[in-house]
Amino acid sequence: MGVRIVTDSTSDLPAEVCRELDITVVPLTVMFGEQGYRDGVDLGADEFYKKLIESDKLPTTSQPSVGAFAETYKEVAKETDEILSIHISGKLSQTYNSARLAASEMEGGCKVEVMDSQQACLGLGLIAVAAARAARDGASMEETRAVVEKAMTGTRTLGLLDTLEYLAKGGRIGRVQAYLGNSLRPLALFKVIPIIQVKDGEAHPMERVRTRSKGLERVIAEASNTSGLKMAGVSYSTKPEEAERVAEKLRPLVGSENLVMSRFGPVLGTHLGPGALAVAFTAG
Amino acid sequence: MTATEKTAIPSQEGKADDSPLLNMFEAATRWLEANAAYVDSLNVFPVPDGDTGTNMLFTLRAASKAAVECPEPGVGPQAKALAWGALMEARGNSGVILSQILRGFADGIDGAGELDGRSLAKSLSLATESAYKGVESPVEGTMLTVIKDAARAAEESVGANRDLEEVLAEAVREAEASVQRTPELLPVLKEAGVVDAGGHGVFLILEGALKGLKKEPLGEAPASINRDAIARVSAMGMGESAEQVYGNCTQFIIRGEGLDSGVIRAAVSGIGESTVVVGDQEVVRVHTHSFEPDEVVKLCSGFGEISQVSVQDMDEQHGVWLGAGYDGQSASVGMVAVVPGPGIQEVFASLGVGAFVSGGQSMNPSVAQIMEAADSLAAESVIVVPNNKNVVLTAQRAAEIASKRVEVVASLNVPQGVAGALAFNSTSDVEDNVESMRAALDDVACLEITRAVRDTTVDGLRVSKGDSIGILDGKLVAARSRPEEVVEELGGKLEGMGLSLATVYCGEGVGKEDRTALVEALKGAAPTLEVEALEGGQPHYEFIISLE
Repeated sequence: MGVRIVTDSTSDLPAEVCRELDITVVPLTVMFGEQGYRDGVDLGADEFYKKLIESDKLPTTSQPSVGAFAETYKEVAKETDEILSIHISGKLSQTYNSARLAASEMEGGCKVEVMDSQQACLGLGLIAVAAARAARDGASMEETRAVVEKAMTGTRTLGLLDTLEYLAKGGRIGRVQAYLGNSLRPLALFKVIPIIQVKDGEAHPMERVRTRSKGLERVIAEASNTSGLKMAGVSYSTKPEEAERVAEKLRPLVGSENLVMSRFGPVLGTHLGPGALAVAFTAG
Repeated sequence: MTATEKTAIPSQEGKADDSPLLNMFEAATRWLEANAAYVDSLNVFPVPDGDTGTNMLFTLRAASKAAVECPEPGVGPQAKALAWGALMEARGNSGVILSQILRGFADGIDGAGELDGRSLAKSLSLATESAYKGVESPVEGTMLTVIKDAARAAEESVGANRDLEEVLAEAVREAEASVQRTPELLPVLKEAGVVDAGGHGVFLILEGALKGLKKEPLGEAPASINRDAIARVSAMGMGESAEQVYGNCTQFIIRGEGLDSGVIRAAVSGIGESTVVVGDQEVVRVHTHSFEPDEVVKLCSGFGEISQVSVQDMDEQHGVWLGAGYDGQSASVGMVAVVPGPGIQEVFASLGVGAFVSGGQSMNPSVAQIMEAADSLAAESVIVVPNNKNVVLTAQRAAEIASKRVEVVASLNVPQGVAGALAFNSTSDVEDNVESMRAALDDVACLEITRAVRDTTVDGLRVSKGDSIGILDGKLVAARSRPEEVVEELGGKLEGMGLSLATVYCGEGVGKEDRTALVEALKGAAPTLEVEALEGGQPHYEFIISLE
């Protein structure tokens, strides 16, 4: 019985990756008005983005309940006695808190440890993959935790958004606010595209560019110029061809087995909006 | 069933259908749910999206659910379950105080063992007591006042020997009046033109409970969302004032044995402000604002096992909210731009430039003007983008003699200045900003189109007075009769530059047709080029074109 990895749906990991590495994903919830959907379970990406663009009311999201984690842990505990549960930054979501509370209430012989990845999106996903690979290779809990800590220091997530509106409305704008702060207001005729990154567990501004192609170029350059690149991931909300073009540039650098492509699920889509693209990579 | 049951409504089997207590809470929850967005809109601090209603709703929902699912029959166990559910799911200050209200209320019901007018009034009084005890320095005009006034009205009506429904109706009436009085008690509410969000939430819960008790339909939520209301300081009974220091909003749960909320509160109050400690002997929730969150947690680990730690930076949230720059850092670096026209000024403003000096070709500003602009910013350091080769030296001189640190990023034209300002990041320090802004200057080329004022020959190029002339990065490259012809002539050259975006700043008095002709010429010159055209408002230069 080895260590088993649990993460949440903000990790953006494709189902086949999770199946292969025995990663269990606990879904967050996205709410359109009073109607709640489990992220990626009750509501798929296509339907969600259709709703997002059509709906006049923006959706909101909430963390998995303590109960959802407790149930998942109990289920996984049937097959192991050690669970490492790795989650989206506590500064972006209360998911980590729910997981911790559920872990602290676990009864029986299974040990559950919970870690805050300080990351989101595929940044979290890549860390979970690193952990699951180590666990599959027989790493102990302590060793797996060390793998996670190392992956955390070597992982970056960069994102290109069509608009900051969704990030702001969901209250996740963090330091990216600096691009909007003061009396700043976006000008309709003077388009500015912010590149954001997840840093210290929250959204930070990296730089601003005038065109999408320049933004993509910058994001690809940041990944390519990183030495010791091990894994990379590309996720998108509504532009798969663009994501594929980015992936083509990254694939030779890490090998296709270390490149993860995915689509933002409803919860991340709620905070990033249509037209978002993120590149995550791990070095070290 | 217990022996304490008298003439009142007997305890029930735990089904909402026949339990008044469950009916009340179920309806209260649904009523709060229907109005939560409105309550949120009343309270917009400390985050831009107010969350008082949502926090109270989550707390109440959990309480109500726990009561409904309580396996033991009777109002006593249901009330206990209610309090427990609220404590476990309490979120935010308002949720924590609500959980404290529910705990006091539950104690009252549990103690009486039945639900009637008398026990309701008593329970509301205990709820009030418990709520006041939960906060370190109670403030009137908040949910505390509303529950207190409601409890008093309930107690008074019991004297007239009324039944449960009548007593609750009195409490609701008074709660509503009390909410309307909150702006009189709390100036910050009056200033913002709102009633207290938490207080309104308490009223809604009581009103919903009454509807549930009477089994009447809830109806539509009446209130419209108050989007304009901006309260700078939350009013949730926390003793917060405009001058308050925020620190970190720190929350966690302590589990142990024989926990004493009073002792814990006293200990935490030493290093935290606005401290709320609620709970029982086994579990307490601590909510405080402190600059030393780690110390608070460490201190409390002496009382029992700590879990659910959440630390949020209130200073950051506060900074965002006040719109006064994101935090201390962002205020530490500012930008000044020399601008030749109002439209260009707007572009710089959208990129974070805080002060402007009018000037450009043939209207060069003075050292004093640039210094004044730099001084007008609260920032400790200022970066100047002169945007004209004739202004660079003036700016450098201003930098030398200014009283604060002033750096010049020597942009020779508007497109370079815009590229520099685009690279500005208010969360970085001045050195990093100067470096990245300087590096960005070379990212763009600048094509200026103006009219020749006399006949001449430059680098073998014949120019007649009145010709439209093109200057690419300071070099005269074309002279034709119309601006779009200049662009057409440069076509091959532009295409060879590998451009993706052209931003056209139209000069003062440039007509729509001239503008369209120029945009079309640019698109014709490089078919893949994205072209944006906006009013620059600059004199002399019909077009300033940024090419990147």
